[in-house]
Parts: sequence; structure tokens; C-alpha cells
Amino acid sequence: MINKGYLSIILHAHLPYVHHPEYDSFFEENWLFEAITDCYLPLLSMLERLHYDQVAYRLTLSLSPTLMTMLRDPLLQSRYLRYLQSRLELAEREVERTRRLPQYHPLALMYLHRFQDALYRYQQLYQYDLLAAFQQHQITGQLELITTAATHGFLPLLNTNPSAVRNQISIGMDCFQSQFGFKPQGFWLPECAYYPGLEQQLKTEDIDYFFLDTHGVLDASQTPHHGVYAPLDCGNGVCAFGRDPASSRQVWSAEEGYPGDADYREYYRDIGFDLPLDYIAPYILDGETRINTGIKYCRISGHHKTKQLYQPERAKLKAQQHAADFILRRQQQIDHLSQDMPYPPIIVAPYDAELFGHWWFEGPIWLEEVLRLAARDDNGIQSTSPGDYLKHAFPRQQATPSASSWGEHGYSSYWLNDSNDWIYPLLHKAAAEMEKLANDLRGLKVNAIQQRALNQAARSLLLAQASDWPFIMKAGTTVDYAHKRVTDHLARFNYLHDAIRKNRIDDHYLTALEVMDDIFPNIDFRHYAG
Amino acid sequence: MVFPPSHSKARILLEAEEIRDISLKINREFAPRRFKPTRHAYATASFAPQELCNISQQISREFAPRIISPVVEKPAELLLLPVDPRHLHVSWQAETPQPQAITNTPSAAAAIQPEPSDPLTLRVFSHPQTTVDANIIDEAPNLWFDVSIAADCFQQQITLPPAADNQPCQYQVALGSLDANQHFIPRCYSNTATTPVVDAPWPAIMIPFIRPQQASPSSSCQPHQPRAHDQ
Repeated sequence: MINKGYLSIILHAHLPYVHHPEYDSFFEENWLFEAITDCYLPLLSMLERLHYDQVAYRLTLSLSPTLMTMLRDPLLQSRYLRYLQSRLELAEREVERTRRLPQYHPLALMYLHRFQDALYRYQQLYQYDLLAAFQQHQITGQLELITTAATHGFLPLLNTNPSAVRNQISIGMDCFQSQFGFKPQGFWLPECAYYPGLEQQLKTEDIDYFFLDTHGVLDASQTPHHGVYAPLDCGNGVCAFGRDPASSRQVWSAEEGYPGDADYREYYRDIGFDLPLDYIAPYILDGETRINTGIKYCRISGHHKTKQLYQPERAKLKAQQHAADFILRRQQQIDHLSQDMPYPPIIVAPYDAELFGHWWFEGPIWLEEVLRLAARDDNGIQSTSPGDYLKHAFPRQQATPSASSWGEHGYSSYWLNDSNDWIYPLLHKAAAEMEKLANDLRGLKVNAIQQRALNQAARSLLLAQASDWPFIMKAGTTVDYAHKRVTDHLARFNYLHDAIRKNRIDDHYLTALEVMDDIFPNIDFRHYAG
Repeated sequence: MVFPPSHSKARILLEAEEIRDISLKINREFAPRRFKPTRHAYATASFAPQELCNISQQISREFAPRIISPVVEKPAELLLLPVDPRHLHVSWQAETPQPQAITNTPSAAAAIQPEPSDPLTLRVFSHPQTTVDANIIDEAPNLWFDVSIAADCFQQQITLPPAADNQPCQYQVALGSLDANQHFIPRCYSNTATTPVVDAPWPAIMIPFIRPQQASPSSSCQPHQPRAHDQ
């Protein structure tokens, strides 16, 4: 059967830079450890099975610079091992505790095997280097790797300082190239946040394509003839792919999305909250604050008053059924689109990578089954990457997309509102000062310590610009931490700016900052010059 | 050299999964490595955690970012940011002398701002945009409207009137005051910001794949799942 259309699944893997050598342990580092255990290791296992079974899949994975940096950080690698060993010990205790609870015991064993497998893979198979493991799949030609802005800055709210946007993009690209040895073809705009003219910056970095939410394409300067089922050429050769609302709804929707199915594991029932504190205390950071342990025994259960016990085989079967449903709907979609389009459509389905395995425990099973089904010759659908789709050289309509994001309400309001608007004048001020430093020193030589201080000031600015902080402030979760991160990084910038301007740089303090914010080793402050 | 034949007829039995793991492990460990990134030298510098903590806390304490500046040598700055098609956000630093208190929270900052001699006004200028270059604005703006500002605030969300001709619109804001004759005396101008067009008709090809309530772009399906760091 001739392929009638293409399915492009994009996973965007990102975590903010959390690196605290000044503490023996830090709660927010668990974000990385949980993502490695629940998402990235299962994703790699999935890719290996697909490769071994010679499944002709194509998947696109965006790895953010902050995530890449943390995955290769020796301190965080050693702390992850410590985290895994702690989870293993807890799982062993659970196996013992549930020995006379036959309904829980198999689940406890499941988690023990899961942590044992994670430890084996991380330590023995991958030798702590998950980026190298992902790169093996990129080398096979089946996984397309791309990246995003340096610290995932929300670019439309940073573009009052052109150097801010320019460096978020270029430093992100440089970080990717320094990790993998090549430049990516595509770019993930943080939060799919776009403004007209941004494509010029992407062109400068030789980026071929990026992604937008649905309305970013549909509200373009010219009505797109093929909706989001063909990319738009932004006028300079850089192409914008728009998110398909139908495939998005089936996964993201709180009401009708697959992850809310009653048979799937309930995220919010964890033994870290359900079991006595004195039992859990040795496995939580401060011995007092209850946290998720990753060991969960309940399924979502629908509208039952009490949560039912999780049944892994039933959940696995449901995930496979949902995958078949997803592919069937894509086939129907492509059948419909093919009647109106002169060339094969592309259905672009981007998701946060951390959804698969962490929030949606069965997500990796679903994803693997989707890719296996899409690889079959008899269904008229083929998985592809945006880069491969562009190689077909189908005619492309030219239009300027509309300013947009994939955040709540479709624009910037989630990142600019009463909870977080105070940060922007401060970010703008710091960015302007960074530009002035670079401009004032244009053509002048600086000594080694001045160079280090100027580069560290740029790092502080970038870390303050992370979109994660205003997001968290609006979401109302770890607000104090987000507030502290913004103010700490801006304080470090102010300190360095003051030291540079007064030529009173303290090497010891500077080195301490370099140790704490150990990111972007190739950064060059001169790129902030206008 | 001819190798003698093996007399061993026994074969190790392996599960399929074991064979697969061995194959993958060999692929991984012996695949040619094209690139290995290097680490930065200072990453191995030796600091006790408590010392790092002390340095960090000292810097955060002494160099905390300020929302309100002390006496400034240049005119106040207005920062204009687009929120969505119907809203802008503007913030400013006062140009009048301020107390030396250092703060980084809005409420504390607002509390120390002195009473202005004249009530402040924001004048919002709009320019229908014909180019994508956000830095080009007309000399003579088409429309403007005024927004009164409360005495103790230093930022404001502005609600925009509906765009008349479904075109993107470029805005600029001036901070000033109205004199006795209601003439606007500007003190400073903001950067420009552009709002996108909304409610353009979507192509028919999309109709089967969006729900009726998704007909407006702002209600398209947004990622609702919490982020990994939303805990």
C-alpha cells in the first residue's frame, strides 16, 4: 500500500537546571532523578527493542541544553545513583512488608525489578551516559535529535533585548553541538512561543524547522491552504510545523485523553503519602516532608469512591488498545486529508517527553505500540521526522505565522500575570546591562579573570531567564524555589556586574559561582554585543 | 593455520531477551564514538558545601535585584510586553528619588513609592502593522487612548479595544501626566509591542479535526498535564 500520509511524533525533554553542590541533597533534584527513572530509561529501552526487532520507526526527540548538561554532570550522576539505591532499599522493604498481602506483593516485586533494571541499565549498560545512548539511535537514522533555547527562555517576553533572544538560541545550539558533535536541523521553541521575525534568528543558526501550536499556523498572514497538515515556509526557507489538535487532544485532554483511563496507574497515590511517616522517613530527604517515592499501588479507577488496586497486565492491554485506536484515527484522518491535499499530509504530534512514564506510567507502552503499528506496511501511514518530510520538497506555502504559544489561552499570559510579572523589568535591566558590558568592551582586550567574570555574568543572566520560574509561580507549586532561583541568579549577575565595573573581581567568589552554575563552558560574553 | 574442529557439541541456551541484551550491549560499547565532550577545568575546584552556601547567601543578600531604583541618572524606562491579542503589560521604574530600601517583592516595592506631584497617565498609541519589523512605527500614530494609573503602582495590564480590521497591531505607550488643559505631557516612551490577529477564518480542511469550542484559537487544546517539576 502506498503511504498516504505521515505521522511525526515529537518528544520535548526538558528540565530546568537544578544543580546545588552547596547542599548535600536538594529536593528539586528529584525532578531529574524521577525523569531518568520513569521516562528516559524506559524510552531508551523502548528504542532498543524497536531497533532490535528492526521496526522501521522515526521519532524526533528534543533535548534541552539544561537537561543535557545535568545528564552529564558528575555530581548529579552520583546523586542519581544514591537516589536509585535508596529506592531499591525501599522497594526491598516493600517486598518484605507485603509478603503476607497477596494483592500488593506482586506490585512490590514489580517495583523492585524496575529499580534493579534501572540501576543495571544506568550503571552497566549506559555507564551513566544517557546522551551517548540516545546518540546511538540517532546514528542508526531512526531517532532525530534536536534542541531548544539555552535555558528554555520564553522568547516573546525576552525580545525587548535582541541579544537575549539571539543568545538563548545560539548558546542552545552550541550546547547541543558540543554534546553531540553536530548541529541539529530542527529547533523546539520553548513553549512553542513564537513572534513574527523570530524565524530570522533561527535562519542565522541554520535551523530548518520549528514547531507552533495550531493557531500559530492557522492565524498566519495568509490562510494556510492545508491547515496544519503541511509546513509553512516563513519566507526565508525556515519552516513552521503546526500541532495537530486531534492527536493532541487524545493524549493531552484532561477529559477525554488516554492517560485518564481508569485502568492506568494513579499518579497521586504514592506510598510516600500513604504509609506511616516513620516507615518512609529514611527515604525522604529531610525525614519529615512527604514526597513521591515512585511506588504506587492504585489505579485511577474512574468514579469509584475508593481507589482500586493497580493491575499491570490490564493496564498494558489498555495501552495497546489505545495505541491501536490512535493509529486508526490517524489513518481516518489521513484518508480524509488525502482527498483534499495534492501531496501526503503530515500529522505533527508533539508532547512533553516527561508525560511518558512519569505522569502517564503506561505512556512508553503506548508509544512503542504506536510506532510498531505505524511501521506496518498495510496501514497507509508512516512515522517520519519533520526533517525527513522536508526532504520530499513538496510545494510550501509562504506565510508569516502568528504570535502564539502552546500555553494556557494560547499566548503569553501564563508567563506574564500577577504572580510573575515582577520578574520582567529585572530581566530586562540585567539583559541591557549585559549588552552594555559587551558593547563597552568591544575591540578591547580583557584578562583571564575578567573574561571568566563576564562569561559567568552571562550564565547568571541565562539562568534567570528560564521560563520554568514564571511557569512555576503561576502554577503555584514550588513557588518559593522559583522565586529564589530568579532572585539568586539576578543577585549573582548584579554582583559580577558590580565587580567587573569596579575591577574588583574576587577569584575565590568567582570560582564558587562557576562551580555552582557549571553550565555552558563555551559561552562568550562578546556575543551579547549589539 | 587450520584450527582443529571443536568437539564440544553443547550449546549454551539463552533466552531471547538475553540475546537481545547482549547484542545491544556489544553495539553500545563497541560502536565507533565520534565525539566526546570535555569538562571545564573549574568543575573540579574544591569547595566545601557550606562555603558555597555561605557565598551564595551573601551574594543573594547583598546584591538582591531591586524593582525600585534609587536616584537614576537617566529618564525612567517603560517596558511594554504583549500578553495576548487583547492585553498588553507595561511596567516602569520611577524617575523620582526613592528611599534606599532594597526589595524584590512587588508589595514591598509598591509601599515605598512616594506620592507623585501629578497623577500619572499611560497613553497607548496603536499603529496597524503593515510590516513584520516591530521596530518601525509611524511618526503620526492613528489612535490613542489613556489609562489612569493608581499612585502606588509601577506596572499595569492594559485591555485593548478589539482590532477593527483583523490586522496585527503595533503599540507603544507613553508615561506622563495631564496638565490643567488636559494636554498630555510625556515623560518617557516604551518600546513597541505587537499583538497578533485573532478570529481569522480557519481553512475548511481543519473543521473535522477541531471541536466546535475550539473554533477560536485561544481555546485550542493546551497541554494540561503537569510538568515533571510541578510537584
